[in-house]
Amino acid sequence: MANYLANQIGYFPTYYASSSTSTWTTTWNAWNYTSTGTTWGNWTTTAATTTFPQVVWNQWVNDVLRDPYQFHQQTEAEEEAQRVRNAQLEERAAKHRADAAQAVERAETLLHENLRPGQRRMLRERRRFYVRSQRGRRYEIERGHHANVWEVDGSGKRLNRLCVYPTGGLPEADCMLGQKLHLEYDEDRFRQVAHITPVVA
Amino acid sequence: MAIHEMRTMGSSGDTKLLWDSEQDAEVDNARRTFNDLRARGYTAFAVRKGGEKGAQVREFDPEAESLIMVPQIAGG
Repeated sequence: MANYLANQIGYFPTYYASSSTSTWTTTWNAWNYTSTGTTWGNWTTTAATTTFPQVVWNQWVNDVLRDPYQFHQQTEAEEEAQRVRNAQLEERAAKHRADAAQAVERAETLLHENLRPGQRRMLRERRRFYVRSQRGRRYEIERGHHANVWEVDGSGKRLNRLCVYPTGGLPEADCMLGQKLHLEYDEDRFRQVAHITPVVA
Repeated sequence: MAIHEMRTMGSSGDTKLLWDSEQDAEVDNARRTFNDLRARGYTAFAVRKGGEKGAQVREFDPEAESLIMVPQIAGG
């Protein structure tokens, strides 16, 4: 369809590109019939009037640009094939949405299973939770896939932002759990990989 | 019978692999999966439910209660 439209909105009739007899016949007729209802007809029969450029232009727009679909009448078989194709695409899109929703749900469950009650409550109420790291530092992980980890002081004031995330296009909650586990049990590696930006006061 | 689990993170959410530590075939299968993931850059963490104390593990332990396999991390 994209090629078809591209041809229609260019400056040559579709029959140059189309293998459909009905398409190029209609286009050819729109150009060449001598009645005043065609581009050529307007060109030749109204040439003596002062308005012919507008008439010809308007006819061209009507014939080719305004309604490109008029040059291609789908057969019943083509319409049926399109309906089947649309149904398949809709089914695939629905499955994709369902799979994505399940992935999010599984990740949220896994994250919640691995949080302490206080962390779960903070996540629910403030969309973030604190983590005490392997080296005794305190971090805040907020909802997000990356650029969502902050090193904080005892009062919760943000000191540094750490940009690091597990690869693989994980759901948000899996990213957050991966960050938490690294901070608790593999902090040196986490900080080695992270892009660390001090917070400017 | 003691059932253990390995949760591997992925784009469709985690996949779960269970094994009975008394069944050699199941343990072998879990060990193969663990080693394969480790070779692909995953980091393994032994955890307990409720966020209780865990550990990073480099060797497969058939008696680990629950393992979480996290893909390689990258700086943003």
